[in-house]
Amino acid sequence: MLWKLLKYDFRSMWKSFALIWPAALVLALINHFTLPYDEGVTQSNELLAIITIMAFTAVLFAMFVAVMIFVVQRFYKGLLGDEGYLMHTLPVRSWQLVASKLICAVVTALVSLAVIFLACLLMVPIRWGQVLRIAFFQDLWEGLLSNPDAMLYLLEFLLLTVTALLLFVTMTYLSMSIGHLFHRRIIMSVAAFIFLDVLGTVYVDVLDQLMVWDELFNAAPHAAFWGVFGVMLLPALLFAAGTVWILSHRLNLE
Amino acid sequence: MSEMLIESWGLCKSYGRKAALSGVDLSVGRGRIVGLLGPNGSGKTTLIKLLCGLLQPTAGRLAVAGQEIGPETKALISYLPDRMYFAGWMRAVDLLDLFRDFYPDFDYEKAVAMCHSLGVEPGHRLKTMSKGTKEKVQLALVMARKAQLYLLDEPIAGVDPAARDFILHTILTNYNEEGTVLISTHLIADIEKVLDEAIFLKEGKVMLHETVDNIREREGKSVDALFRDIFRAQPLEGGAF
Repeated sequence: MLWKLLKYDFRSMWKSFALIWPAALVLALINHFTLPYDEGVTQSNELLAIITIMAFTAVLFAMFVAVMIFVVQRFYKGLLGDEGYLMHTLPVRSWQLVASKLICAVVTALVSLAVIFLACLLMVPIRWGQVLRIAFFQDLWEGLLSNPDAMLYLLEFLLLTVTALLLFVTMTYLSMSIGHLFHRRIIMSVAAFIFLDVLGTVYVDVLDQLMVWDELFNAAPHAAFWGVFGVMLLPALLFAAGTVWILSHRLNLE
Repeated sequence: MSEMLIESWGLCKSYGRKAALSGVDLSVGRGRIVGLLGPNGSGKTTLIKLLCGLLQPTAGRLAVAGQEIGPETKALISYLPDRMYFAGWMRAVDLLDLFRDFYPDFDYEKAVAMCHSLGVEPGHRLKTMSKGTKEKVQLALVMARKAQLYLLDEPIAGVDPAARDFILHTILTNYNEEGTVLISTHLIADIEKVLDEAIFLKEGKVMLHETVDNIREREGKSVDALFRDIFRAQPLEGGAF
C-alpha cells in the first residue's frame, strides 16, 4: 500500500516542480554563455549577464520556497485538511500515510539540491570536452580505488544530509499534528515547532554534558559520522512516531 | 461475519466542553437504506466521521461488521463527505486510478460510464470544474464501489430539487443491495420514500430508531411530519425590536 501512496505523492511532486526544476537548469545554461568569465566585458553583455544571473538566483530562491511550501502543504492539506477526508478513509495504516509524505518530502528536497548542484556545474565554464573523455573517468575510478575511504566519506555525507532532512521534516510534521489538536491550529503548530526546537537545544546540551560531543570529535572520522547520524536519527524517529500516534489515536478532522 | 453492520455502545464525542454525541447505542443491520435525520448540529456528521475514522470517540465503543474502526472497516465503507476532498493537481481520471488502486470493490468501467452519463470528462482537471460537477465526480466514485456500507453525508443539501432527484436516482440505481446505505439529511420529504429505517438524532442523542413502516403505522403520520413535530422550534414571542 505504501508504494501505491507514493505513486500519488510523487505525481503531486512532479506537478509542483515540473516547471521550476527545468527552469533552473535552462537558466544556468543561459548564464554559462552570458556570464563574462574570460572575454572582455562590454556594456551590452554585462547588462544581459546581470539580468540572467538575477533570474537564476530568483529561480533558486523560488525553488527553496517551493520546497518548504511543498513539505508543509502536502502534509497539512493532504492529511489534516480537506484532502484528509480522502486519505484517512483509504484502507491503509497511519504510518503508511506519514511514511509516504515523508519519503516524498525528502526526495523532493534531495532532487532540488541535485538540480542546484547540476545547475552550478552547467553555469561554470568547465571544458566538458576534456572532462567527458574516457581517460578522465579512468583516472577518477583509479583514484577512488586507491582511496576507498573517499567513496565511504561521500556516502556518509549523503546519509547525514538525508538524516538532517528527515529530522527537519519530521519535526515540522509533529508540530502540525500537535497544532491540529487545538482550536487555533496554525498558531499552535508554530508554538509546537518553537517548543520542539527548544527541546532540540536541550537535547544537544544534555549530550554535551554527557561528553558525547567530545567523544565524537575525538573518535575516528568514520565513527564520528555514525555517531552524529545516531544523534540526529533518534529525535527524527521519535518525531515520526509521535506524528503517527497522533494521527492514529487523536485524529480530529473537524 | 457479524449480524449487525453498525454497532455502538455508549458512544460519546465532545469538542472541548461541547458534547456532539452523548451515549449513543445503535445497531444497524445489512441491506437497509437508513436515514440519519436531525437538525443542524444534532451530531449526524460527527457519527458518520466516527464511523469513517476521521474522528476518535471521547468514550464508548463503535464497530463496523464486528470490527473496531481501522483499515479493515475502511475497506468496507464508501464515504461521501460534505465537502470536496480533491488535491488541486488531480484530474478525474487520477481519482479513478486511486480508487482502483486502493479499493478492490471499485468498478472502474462503471465509474467511467457514470462520469460520462453525468457529463463529466475524466481527463479534465478537477480544479477547472464547477462545484456541481465536482460533486457529481465524488458521487460517481462512491457509488461505483460495491461497498458493504455507504455513508452519505448530506448528499442532497444545497442543490435544487431537480438535482436532488438526480442524486437520489444515482444512489438508488447503483448501490450494492447487500450493503447498507446511511444517508444523513434534514431534507426528509425528499428521501422518505426510499428509506427502510429512520434514526432521529437530537442534541447528540438517539431520539428514535425505527422502521419507516412502523413509524407510519404507530404514529399515523409520515416521517417528515413526525420529524417536524419532534424538532419544531419554539419561536420567540412578543418583544418588539
